[in-house]
Amino acid sequence: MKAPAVQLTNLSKSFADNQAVRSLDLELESEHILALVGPSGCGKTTVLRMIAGFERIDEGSIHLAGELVSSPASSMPPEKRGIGVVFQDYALFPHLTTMENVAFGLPRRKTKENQAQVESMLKLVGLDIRATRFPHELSGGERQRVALARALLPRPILILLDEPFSNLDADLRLKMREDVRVILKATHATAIFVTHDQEEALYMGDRLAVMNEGRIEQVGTPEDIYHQPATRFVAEFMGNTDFLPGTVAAQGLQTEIGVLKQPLSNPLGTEVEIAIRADDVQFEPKSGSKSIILARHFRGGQNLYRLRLPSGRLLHAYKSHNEIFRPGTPVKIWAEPGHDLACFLEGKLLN
Amino acid sequence: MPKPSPRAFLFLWLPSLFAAFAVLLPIVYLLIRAFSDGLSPWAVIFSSQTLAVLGRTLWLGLWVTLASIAIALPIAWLTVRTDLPLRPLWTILTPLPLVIPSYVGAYLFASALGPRGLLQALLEEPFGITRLPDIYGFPGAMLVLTLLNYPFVLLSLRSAMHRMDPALEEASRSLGENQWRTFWRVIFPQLRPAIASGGLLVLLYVLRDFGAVSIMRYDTFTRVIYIQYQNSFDRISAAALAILLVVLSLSVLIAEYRARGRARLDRNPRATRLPKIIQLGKWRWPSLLFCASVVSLALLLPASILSYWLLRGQAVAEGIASWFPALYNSLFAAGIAAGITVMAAIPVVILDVRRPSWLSRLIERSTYLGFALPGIVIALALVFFGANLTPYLYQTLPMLLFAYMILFLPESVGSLRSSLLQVHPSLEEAASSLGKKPGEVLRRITFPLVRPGLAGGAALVFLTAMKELPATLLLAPTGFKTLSTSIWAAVSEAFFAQAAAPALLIIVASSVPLAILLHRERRER
Repeated sequence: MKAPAVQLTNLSKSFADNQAVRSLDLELESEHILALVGPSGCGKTTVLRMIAGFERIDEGSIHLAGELVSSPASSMPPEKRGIGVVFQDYALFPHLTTMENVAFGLPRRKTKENQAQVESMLKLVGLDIRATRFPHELSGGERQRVALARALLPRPILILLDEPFSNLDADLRLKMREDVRVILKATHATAIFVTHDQEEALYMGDRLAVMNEGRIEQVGTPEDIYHQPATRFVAEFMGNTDFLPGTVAAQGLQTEIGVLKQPLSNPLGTEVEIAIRADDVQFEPKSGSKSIILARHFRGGQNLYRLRLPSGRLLHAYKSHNEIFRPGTPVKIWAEPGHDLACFLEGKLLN
Repeated sequence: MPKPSPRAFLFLWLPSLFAAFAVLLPIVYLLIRAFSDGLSPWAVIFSSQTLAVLGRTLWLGLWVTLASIAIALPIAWLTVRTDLPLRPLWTILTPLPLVIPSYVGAYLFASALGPRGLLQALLEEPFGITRLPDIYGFPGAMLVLTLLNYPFVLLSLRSAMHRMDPALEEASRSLGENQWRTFWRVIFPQLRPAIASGGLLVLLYVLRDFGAVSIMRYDTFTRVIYIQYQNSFDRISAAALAILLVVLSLSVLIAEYRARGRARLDRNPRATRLPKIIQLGKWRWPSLLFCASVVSLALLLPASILSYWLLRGQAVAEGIASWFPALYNSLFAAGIAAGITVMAAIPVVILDVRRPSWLSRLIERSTYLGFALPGIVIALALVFFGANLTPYLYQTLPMLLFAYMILFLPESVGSLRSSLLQVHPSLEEAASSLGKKPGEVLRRITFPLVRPGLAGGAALVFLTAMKELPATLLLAPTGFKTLSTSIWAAVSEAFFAQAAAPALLIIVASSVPLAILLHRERRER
């Protein structure tokens, strides 16, 4: 069997009094894009820097294409690893033109072959007309593409992208996401992509790894991660989720908004947390109810309502754009998910 | 230009125009003198004698600059980026030669390494050496000016290294270049503007220097001008040479300004991560030796020679006490100079930063001219001007203070300007919108916020005015002895022991404002 492109085993790293990465295991197949996603400070950039060889590791090992490159005892210097890095603020060399930046990683002899490679790469990222510009003469999106081209040209076995879109405006970001994914796929690159933006991770990754406090909480396809979060943290972090306490009862789960017909094998009376999204919640006006509408947010095709239960707990619900209720209206709320909802006991998913 | 209100005219435009006029006055007057007498100054400028002076000056400037870069580049790298043993100590010690005025440095080296100096005396007994290679002339001038001026390159390089983006190095490493090749392909090209800026600053100081070249008897412009003036009172030659020197300095100043502009362009404001410390490995000890040698030569050696002369003189305490009048005069003149120079800088800077127009810009730029005007040139121009047009001011304290103001206005304008640029105008606008009058906004918002800049500018002017020699020499009222003129007088007569006490006082007195400045710089970083 072919060795995975990247294999992290039991990886740990501390800075002073801060344990950034805690015994982390991760594998990535060739030609896959892995999105490493988590809140800021979760250690994802440290993982990237250890793979690149910028940071030494305290424990564990890193293998690239089957070769041991990092262990606590030895660390292969970054220039020997055959990786490409796209930095958060691009790190383009300010004294070199677009073309010189892109060609930096090639052998220094100016052969015709080299020249042709640089030109076709510039064409691929759509910068052939900017070849003689300096970095400060380029727009944000152009710099981003130069950085990508520079990292891709030496055909690295792995390409690492550290929050590559965080410096771009929102609309440009959407376009660059598409462009970068197309380019990575076109060059059959293996890539690890670090971001704190769930939506970006869902779009970019063939697989996602969700990190929290130096650990990986879940690895899987974007669909798995979104629909079957393994932990409460993943459910919360991947977004738009409210949590509702429930108690295991004979007929299902007893909650503040009624009984959910969802069997759990746990003993009766077990307290769980139910992850519930806005599209799982229904409501209708009902005078005298203790639940009320707090606010309405217009979302184009839909209205997102923020609801307050008698306990003070908040839930969200979608209604179509023509169903308009005033804040303050008393409402009856119930769940209508059409599928089993994820339930957590002490932060872990229950089946 | 927008039409200023009467108040703005009175408090901002009028004083600014006066300051700009004051800076331009001596140089314009010098031009008039040189070109209005019968003899053409062109004959002087193109004489073989002048060309020889030009050649010598540039030759010295070139070598001092190159040697300063050669010393400063490794020290900057070692103290900023490596695990050099005792790194904090070298970080503090290596810029310190800046506090030694060039004439003090030259005097100490000449008295120790001269043909019948301390070193020769030490060697005579055991080895019977009665003559050492001559230090006077080019070697002495180059040695002293290099050892005292390399900190300009060092400081410029250090700040460039501190603000360099560490991601650039990592990018180069990830693209397959090792440490050594990364330095030459990525780091060094980015340091070039800083090297150019620091190197040109050194060149400018060599062009301006009067004390070291005079004591080392190497005929550059400043020394020749002084000799012409003193011996023959040869007005045309001195004025023509002075103009040539100004043109030269001005070109260097402009080049330096451009280099600095480029250096700023390269800054990456997002680079907040500290660069990685590099393990020196087997280079640890050679590196340590290099730093230690530079510090011993530039600091330790002058300090020991100075102590020797101090102890050889009369009882130390008594010796120093007898210099208190000169110390008082120095402090007094430098203190007033600092005050009036900062006062003159305030309206210029406010106009330039807050009311930008071609005129305010022109005023601000012309105050920088002072930087290109060597002290000897200002002094000469004011001597002519005073003797011919304002005899009642000639050789009075106001005349000397006026010269100081012209010479040091750029320093206080620069310090104040960078300070005011950091104060966002919205703060002042907020105060105005709350109903405060312009004067009150200035007093309650602007001044408190730029106070560090004001203090820094004043400290810088104080420091340089204390050390100033040529203008003080020519313009000080008869009998008004300062520390610098006292040192000069003693050294001219080869009374080396006598010069020791005022030299010590001047170093101590100018260290205090420097310590304040360095402390400020550290806090800002």
